[in-house]
Amino acid sequence: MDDGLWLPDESIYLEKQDQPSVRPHRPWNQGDIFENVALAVLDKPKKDREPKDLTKVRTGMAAMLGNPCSVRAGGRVVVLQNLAQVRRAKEKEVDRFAEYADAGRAWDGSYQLFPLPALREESLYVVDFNVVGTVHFKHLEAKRIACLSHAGWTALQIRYAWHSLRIKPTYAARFFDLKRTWDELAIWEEWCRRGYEEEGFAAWLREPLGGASQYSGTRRSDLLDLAPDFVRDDLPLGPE
Amino acid sequence: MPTKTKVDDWAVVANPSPQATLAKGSFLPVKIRTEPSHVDFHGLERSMKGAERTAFRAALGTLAPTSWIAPSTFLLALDHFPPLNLDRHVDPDVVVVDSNQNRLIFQIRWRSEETALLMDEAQTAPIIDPTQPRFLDLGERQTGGESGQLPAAVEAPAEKSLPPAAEVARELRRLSGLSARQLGAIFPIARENYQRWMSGALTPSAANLQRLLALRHFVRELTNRVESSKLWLLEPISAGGSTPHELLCRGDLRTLWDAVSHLPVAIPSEIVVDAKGDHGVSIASSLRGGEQHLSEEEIDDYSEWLDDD
Repeated sequence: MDDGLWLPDESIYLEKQDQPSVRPHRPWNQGDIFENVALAVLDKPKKDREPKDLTKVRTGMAAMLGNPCSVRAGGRVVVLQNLAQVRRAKEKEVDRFAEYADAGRAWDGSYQLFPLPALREESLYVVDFNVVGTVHFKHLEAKRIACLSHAGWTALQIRYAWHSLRIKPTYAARFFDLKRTWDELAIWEEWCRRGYEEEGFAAWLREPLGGASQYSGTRRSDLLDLAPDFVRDDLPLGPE
Repeated sequence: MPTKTKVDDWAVVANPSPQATLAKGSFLPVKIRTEPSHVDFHGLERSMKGAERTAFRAALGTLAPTSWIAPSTFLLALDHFPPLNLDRHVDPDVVVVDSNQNRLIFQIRWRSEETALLMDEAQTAPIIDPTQPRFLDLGERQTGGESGQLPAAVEAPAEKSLPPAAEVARELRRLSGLSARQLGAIFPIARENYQRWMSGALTPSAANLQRLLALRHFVRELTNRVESSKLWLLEPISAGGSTPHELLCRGDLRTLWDAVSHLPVAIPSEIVVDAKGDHGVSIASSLRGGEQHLSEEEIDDYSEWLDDD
């Protein structure tokens, strides 16, 4: 993918479906999309109105903003999570994206939005980084409808970095920066799929690799960059 | 030579298969460029899941026209990938026709406005280089071919068409300054086999290709931060401690990333302007820092916001 351009299709998703819960064993990650989430926005000040009376609550889809290392603390999900609204793109936004494409700069611009091609058939949906809310994590349980792929996650980070910092990491560098965590999530998902508690994974990962390979004895977490395949092969089959 | 068809002629895609992870009829993002001419394998790979992705990663592949599938349809056998002879930039759509354990058949669907252009090119430059090695197509396999096994390593291609894995192995050797023996010890493989990777005579396994890429990413970053990568890799990080090379041989790249994150960096960067005219900085190197995870005590107290229960 060219830097600055946008992934044009469903390759941004690891998996998506219309109804929750998609990939129920997969730990939450940045960019995961949830449905039926309420986000609150404080409206402009009005005379004789208390701020609490100016709060507007909208319920719909939302995307997790926290990095996976920030979403958890001590291996457990942090109580309060930040999410950005996922909404239908407005007609003028769709037109604007088309203008960028005509100029040979597809999706380059409107960086407050992260387009979600084919999330729904009826319309283009976008993550709107300007509408961000904080919710208790219990509001998100069993509501996930989409997970981003490694490529999609990379693109989301590039988009969000530009929106918030006006910094644009190159795609290839960022892709490989994220690979370690991406592989960790995949192994973690398999850990959960085999019947273990999500919270127990971090402790297992801190233990040395078993077996009799060249890498045996090295802490599994230290192996994730270079030998995630060895770590995955070391997963126990499941609790008795 | 395959026949290029107009979009209107397209009628070969099988019925979409919703249960397949790589559904028939699905589109794959592919780019073909001139220098170097190649299909974007990462784009293809990103479109795959599960066993297909694993098989795809197992090796790079060969585009080959086959005798029994439709014109403009290609079999991607997973071993070696020759260059495409195109002399300008095109972005064809690629449509999956069928897939199984280690084979992917897809059709390159040229956009209608590009068809005329490509037809002209086809008179002098075939899409597929007929001199490159090919493998059994599905038709042959059905009559007792390779039975789903990955093809064996192929003969080394010419210098001008080194497979991407060989380019990675060479770049790693050049940037690190380590010998083939020292690099081979990380995987571990013999010096001769690392040299075969560099020449393209031997294709790394999927897992070793991933290790090569991870190492290259790290060494590229290292070269932004130290004068001599080789010296840094062979000297102990701390007094009496292991050298980075020894840590790599034990598989511990994370410790090295943590160490590198403390080094001053000369980040290759440039000013970029988006479509609205906003300025920003494009950073071409890694932004990875040392990894420290939060403890529950550090972050979990939001009692002023939350009700007791």
